[in-house]
Amino acid sequence: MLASRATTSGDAANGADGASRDAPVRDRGDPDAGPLDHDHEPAGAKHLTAAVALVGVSKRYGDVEAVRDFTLEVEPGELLVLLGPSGCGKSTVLRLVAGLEHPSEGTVLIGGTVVNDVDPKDRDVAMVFQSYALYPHLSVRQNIEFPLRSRRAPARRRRELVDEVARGLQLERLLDRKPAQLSGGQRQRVALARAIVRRPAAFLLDEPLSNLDAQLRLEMRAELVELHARLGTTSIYVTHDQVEATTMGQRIAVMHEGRLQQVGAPRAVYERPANAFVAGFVGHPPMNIVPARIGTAELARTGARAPGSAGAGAGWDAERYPSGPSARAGESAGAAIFAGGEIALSPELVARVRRRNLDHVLVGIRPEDLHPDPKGAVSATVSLVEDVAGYQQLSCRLGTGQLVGASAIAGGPVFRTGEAITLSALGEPHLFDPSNGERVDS
Amino acid sequence: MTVLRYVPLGVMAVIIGFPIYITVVNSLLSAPQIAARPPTLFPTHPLWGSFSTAFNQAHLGVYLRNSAFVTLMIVLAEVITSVLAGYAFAFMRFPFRRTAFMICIATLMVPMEATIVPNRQTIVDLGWFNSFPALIVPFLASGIGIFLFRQAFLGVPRDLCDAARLDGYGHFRFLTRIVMPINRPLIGAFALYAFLSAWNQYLWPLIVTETSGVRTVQIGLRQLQAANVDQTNVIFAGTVLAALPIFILLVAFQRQLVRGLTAGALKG
Repeated sequence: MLASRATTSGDAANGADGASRDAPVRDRGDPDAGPLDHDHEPAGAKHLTAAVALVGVSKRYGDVEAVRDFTLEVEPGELLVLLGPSGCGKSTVLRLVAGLEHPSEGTVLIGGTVVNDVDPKDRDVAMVFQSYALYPHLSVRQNIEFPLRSRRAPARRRRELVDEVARGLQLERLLDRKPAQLSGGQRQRVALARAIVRRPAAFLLDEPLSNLDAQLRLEMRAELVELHARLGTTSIYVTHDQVEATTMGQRIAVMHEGRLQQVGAPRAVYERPANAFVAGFVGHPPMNIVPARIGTAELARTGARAPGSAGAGAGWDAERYPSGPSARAGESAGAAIFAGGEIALSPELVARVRRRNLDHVLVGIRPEDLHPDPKGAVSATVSLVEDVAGYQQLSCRLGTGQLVGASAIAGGPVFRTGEAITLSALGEPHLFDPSNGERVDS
Repeated sequence: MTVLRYVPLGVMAVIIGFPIYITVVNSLLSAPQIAARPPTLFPTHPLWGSFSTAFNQAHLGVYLRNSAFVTLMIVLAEVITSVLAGYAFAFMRFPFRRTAFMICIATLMVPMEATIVPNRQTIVDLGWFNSFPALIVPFLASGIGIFLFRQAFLGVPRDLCDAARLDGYGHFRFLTRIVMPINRPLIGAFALYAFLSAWNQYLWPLIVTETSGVRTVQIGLRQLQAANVDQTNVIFAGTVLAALPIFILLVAFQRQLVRGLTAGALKG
């Protein structure tokens, strides 16, 4: 127990490095894990060294399959965020780990031991609930020491532990109050204290911040990250809030309809979403996803530029569009075409599309990569302008009738509702197979 | 405004309180004084002797003891079985759960008068006639109690149950440490209700007992009335004695009772 704590806190101290990890967990080990270096382990044995692992887990309630063939390893000391829309099965995954649900299929491991048939209380995990689940008739002190009582810790030791945890969470002055006399943030802290006081092998947090108001949520988010860095305890954090997920998690695991969609560092998931669902779910405002057909770019007419090439095109008004695309005409092998617009594709991307025999794709462009540009190849009508600090956020209607997000740097031209503009995209667009949503260049 | 509210309340209090008052007053008068008209509304020379007459001569002491024993057993058993069954229906999954609950509810629909004859026969067949089990066993479980506690326990958040499981508490300790303390006002109110109905039973004890050794105070009162037709003061004293335990309980637990009856006060 103590030895594992030492390694996990060391890992947490390297949190910054941990956050830069980008590959899906099943393919690569954690370079910071020290004694737990997975790169030298045979494939398939990884879940034995993970702090928490689910292998091929399914959970059915009658005909409803809440979790399907779910495999995920959580590294010791890691803060992993399970992200997904409500009803995607993420809470069920957490309950499976806690032992509150029994898997219909597959194996749950904690610390390398199969715990499918282990009672929740013997799994050495602590859970924080969205509703906090504080015992209303007990004082804050009694609430925090509740898990210690069942483990028959001596009274003096209990007192010491509660005092210590209360100090760490600024609860000392509230110890004699009842939960009803506390504010939301204070209740949240008590719930955390009750989880921490046991010093469990893993924390399971089920949307712990969603009952708090926005300001408090921001504060508690920072506090939770600090707390995790200090304790270094393996944590699984469930949320439907992708901002929370990307700011807190060292890795995020995106779920949809009971299936794991992608696991990786937040930046990696953001930059290379594995499928159209992840692309649309992670990022705010969400990625624009436009159905298009693959064709040859009509560069002469539209002046669209292939990404990845150097130098501004002729007639580029650098003053009016300071964030304009840097591209050179004539290199594109193809384009994604839809009514009223086209997006140029690099030859490599076109080759990938051809290899998959696709004539239609879903084109994904982040709003922050889509800018007004008089030479742009996408015509649209501005339907909403929002002034955000530093830039204007535009909602534009395409020729297809679809609404897309775009952004224009503040200090540039001011756009008005109803104005007809053209847009061009920065960088390589994301392409997805329309039949299954998979990333084309995965 | 306050006057408008309190005048009708005051009138109602007098209407309800007067018979009780006059019973107490009459128990302290002599029989001719009670019969006298206009009635005496305040005993200037209270006579306490009628109480000892009722207590000793009419064996009301024995009847009171029997009633206390029977009532206490019934209240304890009803509370325990109702809480346990209510918990099972609210928190546990088992085959025929719905059906079993429906049967419990269905017992509420059948009036006691419909079952009293076959029940008495069962008691006789079991050889329990004229014994304490005959007075206690038929009331060990209560449909209304099970229903009441199930509904209340359904209001206990499931997260509390999950949290307690993770904290190492099984069903029994979750029930006794969390669910029961949270629902204490309701349990108190139900116990009081069970006490009142058990204490005031008359018909059932009458038909399953025949000797004063096991008979309860309500029957004793009836016998007192039959035996002391001319001593009305003793009858009134017996009535006061029989009602005293209930009166004490109501005063002591009034707050509890009101809180429990206006339940829903459980949440929040």
